[in-house]
Amino acid sequence: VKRSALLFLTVLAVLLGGCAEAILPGGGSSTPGLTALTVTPAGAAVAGGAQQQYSAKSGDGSKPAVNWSVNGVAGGNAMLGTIDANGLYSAPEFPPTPNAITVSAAETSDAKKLGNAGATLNNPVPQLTSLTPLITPQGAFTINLTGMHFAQEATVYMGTTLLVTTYVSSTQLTASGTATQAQAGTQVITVHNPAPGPSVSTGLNFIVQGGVVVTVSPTTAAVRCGNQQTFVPTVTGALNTSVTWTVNGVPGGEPTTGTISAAGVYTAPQTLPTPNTVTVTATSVEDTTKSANVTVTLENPLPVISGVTPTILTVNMQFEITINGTGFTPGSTVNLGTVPLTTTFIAPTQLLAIGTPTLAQVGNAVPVTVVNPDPGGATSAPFNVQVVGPNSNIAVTIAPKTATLGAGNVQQFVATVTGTADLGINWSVNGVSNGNTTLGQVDYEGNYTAPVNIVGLGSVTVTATSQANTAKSDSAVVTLTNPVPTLTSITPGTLGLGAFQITLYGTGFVATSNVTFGGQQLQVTYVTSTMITAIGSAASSQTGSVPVQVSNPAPGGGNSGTLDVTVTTSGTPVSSAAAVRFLEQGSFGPDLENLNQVSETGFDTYLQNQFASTVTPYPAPRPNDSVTNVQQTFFLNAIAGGDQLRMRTAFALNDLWVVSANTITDPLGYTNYMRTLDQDALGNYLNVMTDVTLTPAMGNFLNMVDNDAPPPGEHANENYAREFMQLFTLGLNQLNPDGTPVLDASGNPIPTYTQNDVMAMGRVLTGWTFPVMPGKSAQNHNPEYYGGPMVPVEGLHDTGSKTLLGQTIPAGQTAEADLAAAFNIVFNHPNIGPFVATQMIEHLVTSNPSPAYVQRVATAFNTGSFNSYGSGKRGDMQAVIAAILLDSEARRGDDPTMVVLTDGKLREPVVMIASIARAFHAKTDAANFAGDGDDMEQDVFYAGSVFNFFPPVNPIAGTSLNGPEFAIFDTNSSLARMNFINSVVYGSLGSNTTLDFSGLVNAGTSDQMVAWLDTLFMHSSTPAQMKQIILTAVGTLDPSDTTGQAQAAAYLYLSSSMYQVQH
Amino acid sequence: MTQHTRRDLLRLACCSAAGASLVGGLSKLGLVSALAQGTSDYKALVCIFMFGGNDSNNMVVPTDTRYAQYLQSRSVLAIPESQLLGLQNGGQSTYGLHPNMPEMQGYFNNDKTLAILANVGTLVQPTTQATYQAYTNLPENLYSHSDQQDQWQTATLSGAQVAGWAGKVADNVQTLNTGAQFPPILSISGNPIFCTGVTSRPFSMNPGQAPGLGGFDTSAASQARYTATQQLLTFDSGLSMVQAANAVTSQAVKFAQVLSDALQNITPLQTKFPMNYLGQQLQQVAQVISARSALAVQRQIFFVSYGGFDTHADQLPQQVQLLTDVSQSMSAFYQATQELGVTNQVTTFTLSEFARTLEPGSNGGSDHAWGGHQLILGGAVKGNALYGTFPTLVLGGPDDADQNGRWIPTTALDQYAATLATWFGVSAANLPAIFPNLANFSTSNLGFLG
Repeated sequence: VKRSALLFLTVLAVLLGGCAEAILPGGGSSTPGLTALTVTPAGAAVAGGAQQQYSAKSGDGSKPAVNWSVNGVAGGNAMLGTIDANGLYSAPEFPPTPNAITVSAAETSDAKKLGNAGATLNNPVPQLTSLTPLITPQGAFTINLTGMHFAQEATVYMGTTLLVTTYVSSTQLTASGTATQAQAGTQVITVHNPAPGPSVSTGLNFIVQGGVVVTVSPTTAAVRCGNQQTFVPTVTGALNTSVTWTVNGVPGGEPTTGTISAAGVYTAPQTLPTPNTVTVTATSVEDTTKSANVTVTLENPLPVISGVTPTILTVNMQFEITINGTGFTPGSTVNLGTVPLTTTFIAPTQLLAIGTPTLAQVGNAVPVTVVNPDPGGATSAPFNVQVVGPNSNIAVTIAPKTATLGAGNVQQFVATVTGTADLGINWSVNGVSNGNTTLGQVDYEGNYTAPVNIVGLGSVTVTATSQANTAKSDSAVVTLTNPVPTLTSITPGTLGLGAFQITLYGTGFVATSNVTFGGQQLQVTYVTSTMITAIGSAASSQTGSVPVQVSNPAPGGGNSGTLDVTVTTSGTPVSSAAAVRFLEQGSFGPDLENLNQVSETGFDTYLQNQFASTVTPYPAPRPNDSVTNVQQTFFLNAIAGGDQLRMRTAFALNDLWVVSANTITDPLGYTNYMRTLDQDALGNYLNVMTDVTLTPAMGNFLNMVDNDAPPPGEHANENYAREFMQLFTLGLNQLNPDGTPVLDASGNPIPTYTQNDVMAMGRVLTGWTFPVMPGKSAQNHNPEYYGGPMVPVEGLHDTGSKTLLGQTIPAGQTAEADLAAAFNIVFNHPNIGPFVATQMIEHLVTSNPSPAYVQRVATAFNTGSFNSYGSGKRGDMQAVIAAILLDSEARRGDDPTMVVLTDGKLREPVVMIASIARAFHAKTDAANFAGDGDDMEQDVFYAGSVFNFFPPVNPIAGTSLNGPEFAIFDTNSSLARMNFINSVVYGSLGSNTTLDFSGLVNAGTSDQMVAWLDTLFMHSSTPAQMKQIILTAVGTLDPSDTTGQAQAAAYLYLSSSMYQVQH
Repeated sequence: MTQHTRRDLLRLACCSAAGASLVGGLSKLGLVSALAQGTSDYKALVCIFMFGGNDSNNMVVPTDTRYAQYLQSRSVLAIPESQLLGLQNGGQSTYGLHPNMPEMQGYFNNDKTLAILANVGTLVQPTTQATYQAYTNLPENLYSHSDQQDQWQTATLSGAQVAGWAGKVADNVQTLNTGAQFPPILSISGNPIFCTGVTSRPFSMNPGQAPGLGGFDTSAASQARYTATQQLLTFDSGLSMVQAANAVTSQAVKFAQVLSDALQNITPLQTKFPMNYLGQQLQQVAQVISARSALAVQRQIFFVSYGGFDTHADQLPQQVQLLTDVSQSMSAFYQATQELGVTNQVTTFTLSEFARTLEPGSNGGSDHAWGGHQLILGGAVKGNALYGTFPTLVLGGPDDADQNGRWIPTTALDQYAATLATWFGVSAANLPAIFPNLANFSTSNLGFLG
């Protein structure tokens, strides 16, 4: 009924509005003839609450002043709407009943002049502002709606479903209905006002539970590595529309698959994963069972080059360029022009590329580009580099230009490059890069080693080629012909019967030199052109003098003169075990030949041979040499040199009198230093003190060099003064003759010297500088040079008197006289005998000598004699060494029944390396041994501090024993020792080292192999249980695999602590 | 040097071979239980030993009226006042750091996590010029590198030194390390006595190289040889030194595998360390700390060192490099502890066997002295303060043992170390057994850790 009534009224209003001028205010009758004004608009339809502007004009078009009324009511009223003086009509919120409005204007000056306009009013547009509740379970529900302009007949819809609506007020409705499963999700609630002017509010969301739907936009994406993509989630059917994000199921993602922020910003990984798609998922927080997936296809990034180094490339020369930028991938390829280069991926920001520009590529702007592969394949913008022709200013000169070498000999060539900062050289022999075993080999430092077989070669050409311009080179011609050898000395000079090894010194030795011993060919190992070793056997028929001769074969070649060695049957034979132990203490270790010799002729013959031996030389450093070469010589000498006892003693002194190649980097420094130690090792300790002190290596290492008389406000440098007394000669505390500390009445040790003594000694040692470098003139502070002893500068010597250790050194003496006087005081101090004795025993024999042993050796030091050894002068080192090695305490382990369980010492890594090389007759250039020692914390010559590799006193954890070498025995180095043995046995000591395991492999059964090892490495004292453990392991190998058996046995022997500890 | 590089590669190759084939799975069970234990109570002490005797007279310099005294005595070795890095302490700046330690300045002034301990040294008892000159109750062999290094490491100032104080501290907190899969002390710098306890034994490694036993594979013969190797390590020959060597090697074989497994699973550190040797060692420490869950060590002590401080000649340029390296390395390490979230659980401290004469020696260096200044850095440190008593910088003055500026310490090593040990978990009752001279001093806690 209501609806039809409204419709009727609306139609009526429209009809009436069609004849506006006939309408009278307040009623349905017209007043013809009186219309003087025209009111517009006529017949307007005005929505509830809206406004409408009216205007009135006369027939002549003028706009007189008028009074406005609505249905005759001046200014209108709330029910009819109001109109202001300007004709602005404001409709009531809802149409009046009846819905008939006439707006009238009457001239102010003449109220009879008037005009009308009819209008109809519409319902307002309803506004819906809120719902309560916003959500409902499925089933019956009621909601309260708040808003404005709700008509009394307003209806509420959920979607298209009309709800039962109850009008409360124009700002409030209630509606109820029943939500079905089909309606689950987000529904839109609207309010409908009826006619006149039916209208619908904007909708508000209303959730019917059970219908959460998540969608994500965009629904697929392709993203480049490192780029971002924002995903927008839409959640319907839920009050809480927030989501959580995962990438491949991982909340927030992870670097390898990309990450996503809470806001849905996905950041692709830096590099392409495999597969290159990932799934990004948005999950409703309100209903975590509802989610939406987006498949993201990851693509390679866009490559961008920010820089290329270098930017100048040379034609025909291989280059390596670094490309910096962004967006690089492991599959990126660098192009030079159109030529793809060999490309190495370093990082997403860096590539390396190698190539060689061709002549056709020469140009000032040659583009370098980076091409990324699919997916998302792309090419970077170009980065231009310059390709230039070769630098024609470069010149290479080689020196010497000619050389003559015998088989296996080495010549160092020095190549000088000028005209460029790139001094790189490629070496070749007859055009073969680095040569080969047929032509001889040349290393990167220019050391050319002639081949072993030079027959028919005549000469070869060694060429140095500039790496900066391969058209520039220089060559030297090497004539390959064997020289005539000379033989200058042989060690040992006296041999017993049976197997022996001799070291021959001379010149012109080659890899193919033969050695004859009374006409009998010996087995020769070439070491250098000045030193070879040979193994043979002396028969009883050869007793007496036997001539030894070196012969070099053709091409060239010839015979040396002969030198005689003496074969003797005299001497005091000792057991094999005794010989092994003696050689472990008095050499760099036994091999079967030296074992035989000591066993045959006894200790004294060995000592006499050694004391009479030739010094194995340290060659002068060559131009390209470094300390590495001196290390190499050290190991070569230790392995092959004949004067084993001298070298072992010198090495013990080197442990004591430390200088470090960390400071002394000039190879001449350490060469001069080792020559000094070798020269004095079997001489007198006073000479050791003086000569070593004056080596420039020591001078530089401990700051005696350029230690000037101090000006006021300074004091003389104390470094050498202190360490000389503390570490090299006296020690900190006063010693009894047996090396035990002198104690005061309270039982405390008594310092040997005071701080005042240190300062006095510092002043004694002022006024010395480096020797004069050839080509320079003498200065107060000469430039660093190591070719001789330091020289005094009297003007910089502190000539005041000094009081040292209670004795006075008078004023006015020269630097040399002061040094001699002070050293005389120190040399005659009662500490020095037991001090030196203890140190030398610890280095050669045992870490824990008894006081009586120390005293016996100290007595030898003090008296300068022991048995038949020594000169009788205090400090005689031959007497000291003989006393150490022949002492009953050194020898008691020779007899298994006399073993003292605390005897022995941990082998020094350097000595162990040389010892193993000797035992297996190494053919080696010794280039790798220093590095092996370094792994075991003894990088020979590279001492870390003034205490060298280990201190003389070092308690062994968990014992009351001293163990100096245990200071460098820890979890790290103990494994390094085992790994070194692994390298020894399983053949990875370096390409230029070959060990001869034939004696062991051919020993016979595994028992016999173990016996072979027992003899040489364990002085026949291997416990039965240890043998059994080893044999069990060896027994798992195929009996025919004698090499494998020998290796396993050797590994277990040498890696065992039973071997690592010399006992 | 190329040869060393080659070595390093070989060594690494060895490790991975061992890790892959030998006993890789053996420690898995242990690791699981370790993880379950958690590491909420974790604490670490990191010792940086500056070998050679750091000239701390140039590391911390007074910038008030005492600077004039310093300048007069230091002469050619003096650092210009304008170059010193001011330390802000309660609005006062009375000290400056060496110009090459800006990182430490920042930690002192801003983060307030750096403390300085002044004039600490080896002392039997409180010592004056009079007692020094009477030679009563002094540490043995003052001014000798080796003796003073050992004393700083053992707190044993006379007689036989059988264990280090860090080792004894580790012994003492053993109950806190129940269930540990790895030794409580790790040295990245050799085998110092510092790390050896009465019962505790350290593990040693080189920076960047987890050690491992190489040369074995899964073949029966190889496994038999491995078994024999193990048997030889436990076989009792009776020879004392062989047994001692076996003890070390057994420890090495066992724990190298544990460490290698643990380090394989850590997240690489983002913190960049300087390329010097100290930085590399501290980086290794940080990496091991990051594997602390797998190692299940609750109390861990680390030893690293840096050499070259024995600056008898040409000291100034050498010190520039040395202290630059120390400052940058300590800073990087501190940042790494921030990255790992253990800033408050890790305390880093310096030791050095002695300071150097304030008076210069005759060729631009300085000589062995006694008391010196040390740095303590960490989130638990009550920083922004100088502890102890700063010496009077006058040659022959009240703090000088003689005429050359060798300071008689006013704080004892025992007090310094006991403060660290207390924070670490050693009870007051147990301190005297570790620090035999501690009772001679008024306090056993200097208060720089809280």
